[in-house]
Amino acid sequence: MVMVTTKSVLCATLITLVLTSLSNFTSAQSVTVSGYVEDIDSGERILGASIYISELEIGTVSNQYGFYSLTTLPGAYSVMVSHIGYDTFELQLGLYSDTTVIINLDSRVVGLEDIEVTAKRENDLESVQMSRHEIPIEDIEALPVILGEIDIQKTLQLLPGVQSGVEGSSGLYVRGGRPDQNLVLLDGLPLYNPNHLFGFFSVFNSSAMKKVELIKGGFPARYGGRLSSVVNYTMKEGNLKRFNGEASIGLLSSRGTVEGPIVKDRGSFLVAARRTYVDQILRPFQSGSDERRGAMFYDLNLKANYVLSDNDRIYLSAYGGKDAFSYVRQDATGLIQDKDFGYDLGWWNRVGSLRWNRLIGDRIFANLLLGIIKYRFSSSTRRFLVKDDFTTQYNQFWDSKITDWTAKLDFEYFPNSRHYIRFGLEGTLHRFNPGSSLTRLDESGLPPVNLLSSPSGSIKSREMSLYFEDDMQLHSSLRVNAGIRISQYTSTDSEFRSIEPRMGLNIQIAQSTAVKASYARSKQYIHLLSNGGAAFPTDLWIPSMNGITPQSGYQIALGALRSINDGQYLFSLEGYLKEMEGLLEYQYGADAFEASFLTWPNAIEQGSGSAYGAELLIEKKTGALTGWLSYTLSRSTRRFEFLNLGESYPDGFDRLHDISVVAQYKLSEKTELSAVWVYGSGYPVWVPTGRYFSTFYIIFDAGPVNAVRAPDYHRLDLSVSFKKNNTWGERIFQLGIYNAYNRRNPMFIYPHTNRITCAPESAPCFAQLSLLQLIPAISWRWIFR
Amino acid sequence: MRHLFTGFLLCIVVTGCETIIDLDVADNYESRLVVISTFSPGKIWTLELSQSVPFNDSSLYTDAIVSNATVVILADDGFRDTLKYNANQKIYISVDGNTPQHGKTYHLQIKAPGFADIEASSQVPLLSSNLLDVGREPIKIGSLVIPDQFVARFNIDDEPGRNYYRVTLQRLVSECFSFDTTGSDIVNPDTLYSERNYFQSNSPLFHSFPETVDDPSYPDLQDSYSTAYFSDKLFDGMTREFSITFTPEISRATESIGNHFFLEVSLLSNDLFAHERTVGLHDELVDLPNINQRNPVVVHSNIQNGFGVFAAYTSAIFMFDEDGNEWQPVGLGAKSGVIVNCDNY
Repeated sequence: MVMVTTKSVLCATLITLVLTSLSNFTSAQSVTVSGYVEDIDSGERILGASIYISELEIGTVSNQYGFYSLTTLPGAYSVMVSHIGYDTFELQLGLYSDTTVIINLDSRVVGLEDIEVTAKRENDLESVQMSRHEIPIEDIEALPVILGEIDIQKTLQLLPGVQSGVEGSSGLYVRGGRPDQNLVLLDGLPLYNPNHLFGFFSVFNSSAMKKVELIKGGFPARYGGRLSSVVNYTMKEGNLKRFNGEASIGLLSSRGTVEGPIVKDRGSFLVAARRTYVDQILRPFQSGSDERRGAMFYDLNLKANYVLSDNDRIYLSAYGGKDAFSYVRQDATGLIQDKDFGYDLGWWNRVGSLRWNRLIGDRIFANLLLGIIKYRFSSSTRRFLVKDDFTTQYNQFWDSKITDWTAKLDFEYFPNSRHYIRFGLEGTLHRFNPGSSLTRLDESGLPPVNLLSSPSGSIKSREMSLYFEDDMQLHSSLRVNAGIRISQYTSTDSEFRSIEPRMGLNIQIAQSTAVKASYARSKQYIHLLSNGGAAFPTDLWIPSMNGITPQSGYQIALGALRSINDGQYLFSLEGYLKEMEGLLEYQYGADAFEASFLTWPNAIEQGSGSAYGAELLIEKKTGALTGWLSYTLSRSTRRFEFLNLGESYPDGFDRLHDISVVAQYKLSEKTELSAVWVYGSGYPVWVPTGRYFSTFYIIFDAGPVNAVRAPDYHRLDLSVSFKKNNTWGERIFQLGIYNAYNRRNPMFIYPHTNRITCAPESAPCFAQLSLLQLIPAISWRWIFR
Repeated sequence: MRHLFTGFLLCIVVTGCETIIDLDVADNYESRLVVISTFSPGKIWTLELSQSVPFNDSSLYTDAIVSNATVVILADDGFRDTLKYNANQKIYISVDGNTPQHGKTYHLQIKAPGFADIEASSQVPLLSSNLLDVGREPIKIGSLVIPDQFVARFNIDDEPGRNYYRVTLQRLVSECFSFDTTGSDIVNPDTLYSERNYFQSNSPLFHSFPETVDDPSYPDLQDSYSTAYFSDKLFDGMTREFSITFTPEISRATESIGNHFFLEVSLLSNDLFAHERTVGLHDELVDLPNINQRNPVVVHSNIQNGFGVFAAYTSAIFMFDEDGNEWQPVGLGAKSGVIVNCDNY
């Protein structure tokens, strides 16, 4: 208790010192224009809008909550405000005292594509942040997808430096990292398992999302706790002006969204839901059968916000999603009068947060976030037998869960046009229950037996961090973001600390060309213990503890960005080097499931990883034809003491060449064509190099790890969207084809001993299984306005 | 759970297809010795020895046999036996007819030209199991009652620590059906044969395969077994009773000798169980994609510098006829007292 109090005092002192020292940035003659950028139609605040004073050639960008602040010398200025998808707003402002201006941008008159391009170009060229991508949700929704199921994560896989893992999976393998090294944030809170259907779809319902950004390197100090990327999802706030909605029907699921004002112009809400109907379709076919199978998932997104005063606004965000699978068999044989076998499996995420925005003066924006995160995987089997008067009930339960309570306090300070300072602190209480099992046996006439197995028990830990960063315009052509993140992780038997310097710089060598560089050191205190190519829910989240050190690493990146033809084309070339320590793997030969729930502390080892590569991105931003081409040349390796005889080996998702071509062509105002072509050189596979005989069996000698390459991967996806405007809104009908030329890509590679298929017949051979061949898709969307 | 995941993927598999591909596997494979020797008190020492071959090699087992090795069995009490290769049986065997003893630890040493020296050890476990009674009870199928169901009860006095058990039920037959190319029956008036008899149990501890024991991802949906495996997870260090029921299949091969059964309860050493379990896991994935885990299944081996297993087990064999009386092979016409298992054919 004393320690907590001491820490609180220290934090308060630190904040006071920072604020005091920051006051030196301002001068007595300066004036500030501040406020919010909002959508004129919905009242939603617009993040990332560019606010630019052309006479002074200075500007800023609205923050995560649409707030901006620009301090300069008094005078009369022309202020340009722009954002992708909105008409640029020009404001003549006599700025002689501190002024608050709410800027409303109008999306209805866009068509002047030059303007949106300018906004994008300025952000990309002037921002220090490199290795960052943002794809408009509308573009994502127009791209072809499997079974018509829009998946934001699958679109992110088309960006340079991002691998997709197993075909069809929505996992992100960023610059040689693994999915657990991605900080996947939904309205500021991390999600532990953002997957449905064993990773084939992600949990993010595009109807509920306002923005998604991916940061692959040069992480600012405000982000921490993961090594490889930040995937930042921001939910829509809800329309402050009027009610509207959206509904869609696809082959796999349906979605619905409703939003509207709670109190007009002061508060709004959004509710979005998605559910599969596979189980409902199967139900009639299983009627009367001894066997029943079920499979479903759903998502529910909620958001509400309320403007308390000119300076205060609160947000409530929540997400709940679940996957559930079941199998039941009931029958009776001659010997057993009644029996009931069944098993269930499921996992769910629950995330809830309350945020309070507060403006302190016109230059300090504060945000307090209180949140709770819950993730749980559970499975059970049951066996119930009745024979005469004797009954036996046998149950096994498996459970893995995480609960986090988190609090974040962030400050953004805009002392003048040359500095944008952010600092804050964050604390999280984790409670991990990785892998526990309960076996229960209850037989007639015998005392019941309960056996609980939990390799680590419940682990409570605390994660605290402080950060400070300053985005500085040091020269008209040099901008630097320097920051530091300090963190401490404490569990019952261990304590870890970390100091993580972060640095990024942007040298603008011409009006349309910038060179960027970054360095970021990171530490990750939690691990995902996984042996699956797919996102198997038994993958265990394990905290650092005695004997398991945190993951740590650094990344250096260097890149150049060039805008051509006044922003019509954007070229980006980046190179990176990443080193990682403390990576976790199962030991050679460990049985993943048994280890997961019974013995994992004795079945793991830690090692290191290294990744490097070059990424090229060419974007075409305007015209009837838009899209991008991305190419990645990369290498990713791992080294573990007891795997592969201690020799370095390619990571399972190491891919030398990776190409994505994305094209969207507007045939008319009502018809749009989209195409995606991807190519990747073969992933490494761990296949046997020898074999031997054991009584009646042929046994394979596993051989070196990932020493062989699978065949190359490529496919073409196509879609066409037909839009029709009605008095009530808009209807979109979409047809698509996944893998249009029916390429047989390898999903699994395995040894084969079939004497008919292998030649010569007495020798084994290798086979590949191709699953996702030509798959048509159809979907309807209705947008009500 | 693996079934669920497999089922999910199988839905997609039906739309997928399998293609044979060429992979660039390195051809500098280094062969190692492979030992298969599972031993039990009362059974003469035998050992199969072969070598591993490159993956793409078309060698059969007979091509891989290593017959020129020196195979020595040692025990801490000074026991030493050198097994000799028997070309007819294609195994190494104790020419002195030595057998393992309860509770002893045995060590294996093999030297073969061109291969690294082999070492392995295993202790013969101590088993305490008793047949409690054998009886009959009727089978009820709705209103239909069939009188000929056998019930056998036995117990196991478990030693503390994790132990793995195996139960089989055999029935005497006068001849075996050969599954070789001749397809003929094996009949020898001087020999008795046995074949497996399926049995049922309402014990939820029983599993049909070693790989399903205590593995939550394999919910075992069987209640009829040719072999049952289980662990002492729920009766560690205690005595527990088991009951099995079975019905002899109608067969002309038993007409001349009647119903004679023997129930074998075995305690497996941990190495033997781990080997059998991982062989089962491995076998499930032959010719099928490894969809549950990316890394290959590694078959457990306790052979230093080689593959395979050198591991002990102990069996209690209970012989009873249809009236529950104990019987002896010799009295039924087996001159040597040896019963040949039809599984060998």
